[in-house]
Amino acid sequence: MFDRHQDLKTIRRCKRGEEEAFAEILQRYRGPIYSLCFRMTRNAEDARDLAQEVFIKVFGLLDRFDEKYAFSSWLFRIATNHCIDHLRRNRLRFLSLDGVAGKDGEEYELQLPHKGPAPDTVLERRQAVQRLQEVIAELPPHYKAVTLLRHDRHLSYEEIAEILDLPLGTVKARIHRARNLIQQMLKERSYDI
Amino acid sequence: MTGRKAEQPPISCAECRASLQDYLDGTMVKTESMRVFLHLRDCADCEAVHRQWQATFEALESMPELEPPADFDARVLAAVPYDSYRAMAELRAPRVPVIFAEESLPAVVRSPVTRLAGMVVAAGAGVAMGWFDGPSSLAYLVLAGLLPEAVVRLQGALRGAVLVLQRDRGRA
Repeated sequence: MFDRHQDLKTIRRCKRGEEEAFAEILQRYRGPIYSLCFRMTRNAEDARDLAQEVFIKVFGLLDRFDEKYAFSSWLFRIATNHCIDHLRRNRLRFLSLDGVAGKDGEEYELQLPHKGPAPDTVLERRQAVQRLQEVIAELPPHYKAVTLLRHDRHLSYEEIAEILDLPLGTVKARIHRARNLIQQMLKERSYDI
Repeated sequence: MTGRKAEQPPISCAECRASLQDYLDGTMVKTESMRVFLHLRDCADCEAVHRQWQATFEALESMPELEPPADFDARVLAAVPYDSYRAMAELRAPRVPVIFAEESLPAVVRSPVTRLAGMVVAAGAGVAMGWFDGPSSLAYLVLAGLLPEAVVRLQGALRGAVLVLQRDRGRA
């Protein structure tokens, strides 16, 4: 999904201090990283701050980037860990593995792009996405992270295992468990998606 | 050649439901995937569960990408330590022994004017020796005229060889 070779060329330019190269990396990854942060936190302000902190951290540590790995994996690893730390620090409510937590009080209005289908379909799709994001937000941080990397970023199990530095089996088990939790919550709230 | 494969035994409802995530993920081997497919074709209850999972997968896959606010880049780009990277890049730049550095030769030798003048003198001395049967001592003048150009070119070739060796060692 991300061009590893292209990234490497840009990173080498960054290491030479070329300002345009940093802007290029930002242009390429700000949407994916901001989306990940938003879906981890469900708060636009936190997502903006977290995503900016991730880029600032990464841009300050490029000398430590090991070119054997994909830059995107390294970036997503830092972003995921940063979001998990944030959630832990702020003790946001998330789902207990023993049961389903209640509905979070906050509501968010997402700006979805208009893709053309009939208004009813658009509305239904928007509602489905909002409901889904609502339940994803209540997953425990590690389950939330694997779900978003898999379905929001469309990464393979192998890529997720590399990003999170986890065994493949653990990644697969977490994704399955997370999806089961999502279905369970959708059922309990009688959400029809 | 019969072209007919041994038939796989059918799977149970429990096995089918336990495989649905892998089935929708596309991570099952083809024969296993086919067994799930055949079970779903014949079992209305499992097909209903499958449809439910399918809807969840489709919703998960349709989350739109979000764009950060317009002022997002400014804070990030203002915090990049460009000067440190430039300074580090200079330190990382390949280095050659002083003797192979261009600056180690006197500026007067490296000067294009000197090199051109030397070539002209060498050519003139060579012509005088060959055509006008000049004294053999003119050979020294030919050598002296060619010297600046030869020294600059030899140093450049050695510098290039050292850089190639350094690059190869860096890759290894």
